[in-house]
Amino acid sequence: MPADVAGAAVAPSEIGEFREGLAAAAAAGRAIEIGGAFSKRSMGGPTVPVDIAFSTRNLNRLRIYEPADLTISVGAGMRYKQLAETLAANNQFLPLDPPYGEEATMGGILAANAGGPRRRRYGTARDMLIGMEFATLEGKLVKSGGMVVKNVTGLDMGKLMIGSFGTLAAVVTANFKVFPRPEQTASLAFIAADAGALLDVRRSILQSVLQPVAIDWLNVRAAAGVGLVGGHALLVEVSGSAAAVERCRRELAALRSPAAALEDLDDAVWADVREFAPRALRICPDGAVIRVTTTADRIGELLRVAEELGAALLLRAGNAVGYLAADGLDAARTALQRLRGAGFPATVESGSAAVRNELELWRPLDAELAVMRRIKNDFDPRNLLNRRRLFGVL
Amino acid sequence: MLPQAALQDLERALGPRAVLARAQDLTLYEYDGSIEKSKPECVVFPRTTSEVVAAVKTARAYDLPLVGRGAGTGLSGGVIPRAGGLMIAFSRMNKILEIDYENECAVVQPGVVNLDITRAVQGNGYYYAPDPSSQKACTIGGNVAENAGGPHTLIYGVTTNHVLGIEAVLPDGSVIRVGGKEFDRPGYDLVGLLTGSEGTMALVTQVIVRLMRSPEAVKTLLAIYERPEDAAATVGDLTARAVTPAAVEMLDGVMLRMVEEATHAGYPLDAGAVLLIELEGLRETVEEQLALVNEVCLANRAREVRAAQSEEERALLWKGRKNAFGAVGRVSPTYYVQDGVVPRTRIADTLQHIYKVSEKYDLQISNIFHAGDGNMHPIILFDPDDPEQTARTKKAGEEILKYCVQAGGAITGEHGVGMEKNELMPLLFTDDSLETMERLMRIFNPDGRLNPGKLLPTGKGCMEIRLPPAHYRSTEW
Ligand SMILES: Cc1cc2nc3c(=O)[nH]c(=O)nc-3n(C[C@H](O)[C@H](O)[C@H](O)COP(=O)(O)OP(=O)(O)OC[C@H]3O[C@@H](n4cnc5c(N)ncnc54)[C@H](O)[C@@H]3O)c2cc1C
Repeated sequence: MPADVAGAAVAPSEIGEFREGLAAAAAAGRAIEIGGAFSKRSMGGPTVPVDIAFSTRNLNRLRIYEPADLTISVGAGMRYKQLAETLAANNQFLPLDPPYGEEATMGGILAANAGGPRRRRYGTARDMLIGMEFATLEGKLVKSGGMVVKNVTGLDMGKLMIGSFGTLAAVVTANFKVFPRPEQTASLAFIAADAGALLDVRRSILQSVLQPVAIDWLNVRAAAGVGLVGGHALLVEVSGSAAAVERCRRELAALRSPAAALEDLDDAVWADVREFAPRALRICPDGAVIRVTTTADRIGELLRVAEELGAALLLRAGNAVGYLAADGLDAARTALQRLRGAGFPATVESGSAAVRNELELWRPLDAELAVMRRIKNDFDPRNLLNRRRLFGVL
Repeated sequence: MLPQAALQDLERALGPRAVLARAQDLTLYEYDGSIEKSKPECVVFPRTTSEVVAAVKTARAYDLPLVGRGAGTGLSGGVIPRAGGLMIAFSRMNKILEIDYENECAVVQPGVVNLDITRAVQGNGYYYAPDPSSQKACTIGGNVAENAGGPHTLIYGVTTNHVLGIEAVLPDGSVIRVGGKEFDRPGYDLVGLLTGSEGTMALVTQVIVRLMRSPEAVKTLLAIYERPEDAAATVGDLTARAVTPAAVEMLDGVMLRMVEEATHAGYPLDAGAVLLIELEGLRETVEEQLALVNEVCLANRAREVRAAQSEEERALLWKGRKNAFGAVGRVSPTYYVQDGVVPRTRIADTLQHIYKVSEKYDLQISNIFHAGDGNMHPIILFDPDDPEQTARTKKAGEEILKYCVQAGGAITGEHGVGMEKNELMPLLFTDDSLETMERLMRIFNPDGRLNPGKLLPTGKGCMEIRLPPAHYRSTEW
């Protein structure tokens, strides 16, 4: 395969053709890479040489959209941006806010389980996907779920594909439940030099009835990256009717203290937050972004580790999922050691080729991994598909 | 027949008081809320995960089928030991092990009753969101197995959206822990795969559930209609006006009268349908939505919209809803509850179809359902001692489900496929899809020992009932 995978990829515009092509390649024992726009090749695992690549980018049709049902079905190759525009025309939205949002296709977003700041209120892809079709290496076209918002008919196989980095099968269509756009939104930031003061604000907000849509923490270095100076920043988005938003603003303002200043923000700041990882890798192509999946009670400790490492940290502060940017291979290695040493589950989510080839990207638990291997083996016994894309392990 | 040696092994491992094997003791465990029946050969009541492991290993050693049981409130025959064998009842594993407010979660044993979680945390302003109408009785283990829903799952989703981690015993006796208190862990989503697998892949021995902050304000409305179609149209219009209520429940006229006679909730006796609508959130939001909902209901020819003025009034309105099945039970001891789901815009015509089926088969059918998410619950009244009527009931039920499928929906929204609808799976899934499900199931349950004969078609004959795609949606889905 040439270096330009996206350009060389076979990209059928019909599902049948896609499925047959995939099955034929598998039957011939060829190593296969599947992708959408290939926007996330720095994510997930080392890129290994393959014999053939397939792209879902031409499976990009709008299949069903009934605004009054709040559901939509699209080909996996539809771009997030186009989906967002389609929904916006009806004042609806899919609050995934993934990184690489300009190019990313829905299939790729699902495969990478990419999400964004509004996960506090709306969750991630697993909370929005209601149905899926995927093509297997055996040439099967498999359906899971459907077009209704509540459905327990059959095993929820769609869940398995989310976050699988294309190591099991190729997602060819995806159905989502969508949401009405709130009447108003407002974005605010608390800024504090002292993390402790901001942790108190965080706790007060989450324990209050206000329940913001997004609550993200940028440590000092990450805040500076989006133009917020003066310390750590706790970014909050609230939404709803004018009266509700006004009330939230008022009550959030009351949490301001001499130690924690409050600033109004332009909603555009979220685009910067969403693109944290892609930007980090643009600024520092030799670096890495490490996902730390921890719990809220350890946020303070994680902040200290990030500070010691001198690394930028973005934290989904409502869910305790952190993204730590390391400036190079050595920095990434040190950060992983330090994080894992302190008992934080840390996974290199994206990074340079050297990072992805040399580091132990993911450390799954043995029992869990054994089951995952059995699943992989059932879908792809010869290990042909997106080899090692699941963080080098599967 | 259960080998004597197996019984002795179980008694040794779990203690004699944790094992039932006498015929008269087993009759309690032969049914659930569905209409099927079959006895286990033995029921055990473990208290710990290691006792579950011991029971599973015994079943393996003596080649016995196995099934887990929560409270037996299931409505699809999920818990019925259709092949006999050993039943593992989780009623003694009913402890809330940890409440972790800081991390907004609780760690519970599978036998914990759904409502008990909310009861344990509501004093601190939290709740567990999924609330099946059976929540006073059903267990978290059963909820995870069925991916249970409920009236209030419209905004925040069903069980699968609230389970963070699972500990489970596999049919080979090994214990796995998947997920955890952390969100967004990398790897295949095994928690998501196991949730809703209807007890066919693993026995759940511990669950980490999310806790949510209780809303500041809650308002409940009763909108009264002459015609069910108008109530149904209201649901679509609410969506169009961007109102997301916490719950939208519908009762049709037949149901209303049964419920009112039993509970005196204040439902009108002469109406064609009512909607029970609940709004929750910030005070401001609720007040504004209340006005909007009122307007939408009236625009759809509601004859009256009543808002509960006090907590007592609200509780009374919900009492009617939550005790509906009891009310039906007064009229007919046996009834068949269905669970088809349709896109919200198809509720009105689906209801019309249900009424036609009722006439065609000469059966009384009442409807009480989660209208907000299109989850229909037609309840067909019948006499199980009349074989001809029973056969008609099953046929009527099937016809309704086929309609739901053709409308772009599915055959079960929350109750599960179980042994009631497994032969109807080909209505929705091709052989390729069913085979893929079966292979996934076999990864966990290779010899099919765990809950055999559920969820997937049992084999021959199932292909004959496949429907021609009559509606454009069903050619797509
Ligand atoms: C009046 C009434 C109202 C209802 N309303 C709703 C509703 O609003 N929404 C809804 O979703 N359902 C509803 N149901 C259905 C039922 O309550 C749910 O399906 C519930 O989740 C079943 O829980 P259970 O503990 O009774 O499980 P059971 O009936 O005992 O078992 C159900 C399934 O779960 C499996 N299982 C149980 N425990 C475990 C375990 N620990 N590990 C693995 N598998 C296990 C069983 O094998 C079986 O397959 C209602 C039922 C009734 C009778």
